[in-house]
Amino acid sequence: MSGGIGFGSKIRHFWTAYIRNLHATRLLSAIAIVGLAVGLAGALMLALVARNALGFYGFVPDRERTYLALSVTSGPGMAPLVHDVTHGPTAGLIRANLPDVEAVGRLSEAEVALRRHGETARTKIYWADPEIFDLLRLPVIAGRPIAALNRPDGLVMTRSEAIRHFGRADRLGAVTEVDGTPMVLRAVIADLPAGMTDLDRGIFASGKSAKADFGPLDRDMLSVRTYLRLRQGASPTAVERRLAPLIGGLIAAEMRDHYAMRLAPIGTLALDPGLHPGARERLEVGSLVAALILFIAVANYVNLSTALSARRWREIGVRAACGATRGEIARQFLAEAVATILIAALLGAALIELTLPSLNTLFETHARFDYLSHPALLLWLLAGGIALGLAAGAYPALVLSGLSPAGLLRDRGVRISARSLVADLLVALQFAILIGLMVALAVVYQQRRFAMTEALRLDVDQVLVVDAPCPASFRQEVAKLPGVRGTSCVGRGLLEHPMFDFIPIGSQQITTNKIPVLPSSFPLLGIAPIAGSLSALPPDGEDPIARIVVNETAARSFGFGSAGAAIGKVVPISSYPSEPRVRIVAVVPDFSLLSVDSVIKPTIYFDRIQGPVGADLVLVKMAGHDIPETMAAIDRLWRETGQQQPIEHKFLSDHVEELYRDLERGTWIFGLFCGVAALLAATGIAGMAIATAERRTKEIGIRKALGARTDQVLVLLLTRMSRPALWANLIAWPCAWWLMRNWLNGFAYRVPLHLWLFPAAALVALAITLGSAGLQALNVARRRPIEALRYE
Amino acid sequence: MLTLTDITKSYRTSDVETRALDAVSLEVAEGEFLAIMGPSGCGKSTLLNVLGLLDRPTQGSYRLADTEVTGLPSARLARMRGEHIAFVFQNFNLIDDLTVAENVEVSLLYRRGAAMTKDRVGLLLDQVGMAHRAGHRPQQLSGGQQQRVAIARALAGNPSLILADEPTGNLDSANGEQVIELLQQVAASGTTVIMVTHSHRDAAAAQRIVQMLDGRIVGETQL
Repeated sequence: MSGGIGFGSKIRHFWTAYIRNLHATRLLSAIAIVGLAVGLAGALMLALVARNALGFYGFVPDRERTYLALSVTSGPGMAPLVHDVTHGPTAGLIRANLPDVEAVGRLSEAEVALRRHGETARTKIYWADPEIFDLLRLPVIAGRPIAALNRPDGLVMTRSEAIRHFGRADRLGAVTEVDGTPMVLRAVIADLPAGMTDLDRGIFASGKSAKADFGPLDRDMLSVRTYLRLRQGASPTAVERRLAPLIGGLIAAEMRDHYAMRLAPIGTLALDPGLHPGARERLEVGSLVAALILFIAVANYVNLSTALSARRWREIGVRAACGATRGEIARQFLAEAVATILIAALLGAALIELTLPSLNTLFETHARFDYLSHPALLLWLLAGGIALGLAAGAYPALVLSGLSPAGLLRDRGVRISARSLVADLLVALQFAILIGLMVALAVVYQQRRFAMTEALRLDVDQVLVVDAPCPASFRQEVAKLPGVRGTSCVGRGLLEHPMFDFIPIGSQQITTNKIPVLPSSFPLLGIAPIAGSLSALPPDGEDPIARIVVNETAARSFGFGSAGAAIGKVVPISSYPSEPRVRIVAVVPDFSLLSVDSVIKPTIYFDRIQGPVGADLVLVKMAGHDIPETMAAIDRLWRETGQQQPIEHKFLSDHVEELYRDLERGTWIFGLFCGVAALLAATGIAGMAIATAERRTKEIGIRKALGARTDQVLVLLLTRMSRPALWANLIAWPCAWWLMRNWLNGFAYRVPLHLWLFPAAALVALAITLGSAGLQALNVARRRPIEALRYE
Repeated sequence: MLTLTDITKSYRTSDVETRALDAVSLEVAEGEFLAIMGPSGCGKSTLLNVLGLLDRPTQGSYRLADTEVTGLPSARLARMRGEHIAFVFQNFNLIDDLTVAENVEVSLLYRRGAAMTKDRVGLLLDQVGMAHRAGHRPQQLSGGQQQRVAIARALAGNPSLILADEPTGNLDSANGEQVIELLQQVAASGTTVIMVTHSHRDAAAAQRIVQMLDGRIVGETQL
């Protein structure tokens, strides 16, 4: 005989052995592979979401040198507020004075009337400096965007916007009117990659147009996004330092100490803690959950594959007898592990393909699995699969290749223990994760309910909010409708971005929100004063303001020992000493329609409708019956009382839901992944139960032959199987307690961390074990001893 | 072919030492058919494992094909096993998931310089009368058929030494005879065969019988 044994033949042989073994153990192999596929899909999904956040503006060649100027406002006793906009003239000052800045450009969002073919639509667009397309390098489809915006009539649109407005993407030269001025489509860019930029409008109109609006010269107005690129080697902190004196002139004197400008690299905008509080934490928690799920899936695989390999003792012995070294046997099992993980990865990828659109909709993410345009993604997947396969296969390979061939060939029994310390540890860790995730889910759910009910401390049911500056005739007519209980008016600041001021109390300045609220609003929202009375206030406002209502926090911050002590006291209402002081007539409990994760600030509610700082929302409390008819009547009255604009309204409860959408979404994501984790852990434990029961068949036979009853055997098996689930609590309880306490501490108003949740989660985990392992255990326990003993 | 000198094999559990082989010395010539007999637990199988490099002796010297093997690292032992030795077991030890032909292939996988062709496998199966069952799984065969496949597997690697551990122990007498005949043919073609057996009839087919008791060689009969 001559020549070497063909490599192809070897591969074919091992592949055959692998596939036949998979087939012979199809149920347990399917549990392991499907578990891995789900785990990998979950991890991949979260990795794709993270890729967006971490790859923000990834297509910009000089991403590291390109920044967005952020405005940071702060005051005593308040957390700094970060805005992604600056004063309009900032860019000009930078261009003229800072040689370290290579390019600077602005975007200003505005709602304009776009008119074409006699139809007008109100649309949000950006007024844009031409430099924007040098800075952000959005991929161009047609025309030259920089040149386009250098012409006062130039328009640049994304492909989708161009098609929406002009029917086709290649209609360069087409004309549309922007707020009455004809403008020409001169360039088309690719659609903005979803989730990878901070831009949400697809129309860019030339900032050189006479209509362009980069904010009023009002010195308090922050409305323009300013992007800039530094020269190679320039330091952003040095630029920030030089910026400070330059922009001083743009800021009102009393605000100067409370304003700063910060440069944020555009790559980090998605995770900027000031702009998107909690985004980084959510990403970290998401990654942790993904890692945990992947761990459960891999642990399942390791346990099941080690247990399943027990049936291959003869094969291992024969291979060793035929001259296979330990390394060769280990490599065979490692290669099988890699092949299994790659099969699972393929299934996982298919699962992602199928579910990504729905998951993106559900979680409001923009994850893309675009492996066709990014083949590197496939390479990463392949490399990840191989690495994971090697890691997951290492333990079984080590155990199996280390068995003594003499022992394997001499004995007829299975010599590989399906239960080892490692297997027990892995199962215990799986359960620890499961118990931890269940506690977390319960806490997140409780906090969500709390935030949407008790923490609000007001009644938002059936309250319609109409966007109107409290028109008297409309209010009066609406109040007469049979389906309406009452109407009132409040300032927009009650719902968003309240005006704040630094109220001088003694030697201190107290950062205080100031919100116009008519006295009837309090009962309408279910709020009763805890001290004083609202009856002293004129129902339709007063000007100048002489009397105010404050919240409990304000009463405390202003130095009054109790709510009652504040009544009748006179306090300043402004940081301007020239403004008259006002009398506190009532103190109301703390409540907020702004957000639950920030502490409720000292708040002054003043009684005014008119003026620039007056009420601009009408509240309508409905009776809760005939709602469609009442809504129709309100719409009719809106027109009949001569209002010019189309009516805009929403329910206050929708506003609240909007506020808590993140929390809601977090609950959903958590719920879904906890479900996946529970499923994986349950299938894993069921698989282990099957393997363990098979392994102990002989022992069960002997016990039954010696007189053990079925129930005694069942108890024996279940006790053994549930032990890791019990041990898991030792790890899970302290970890979950610590993590969830920290999570809750992020909320100003929160539920207590109920201790009963921990044993409850442990019981559920135990129930999962007993449920999944019980049937198999019963099956084995009921076997006749003769069958069990004949098994070998 | 091989020489054992004062081979001792002891097993130690927590407080008991069991001496499975006690100063065994044995010389086997190339092409010899040797039978080892003795009661259960006398050390026959341990001796076979030591001879087959599946187990290391505690003491003594073992020369196989002019190489002292006792001190060799396990990877080298595995290589030597692949190159020189083949096994036939009482319980056949065929791999359930593989077909008859694939089982025969296994012994060529780890062997350097061996060519694995369908022809070669077919030829071997033909030699043991199993060519018509090449695509079957072991469970579909009778005990005698399984053992013949196991012999084909043993022959596939062209070994210089075949170790047979009670090869007829699980077979009826007709099948047992066929297996012994096959082993005789193998020995006649120049391959050394060492067979552990309880059966005097099987042992009678060998050229020499070694008697073992309590881990020692206590007698030898030249036939």
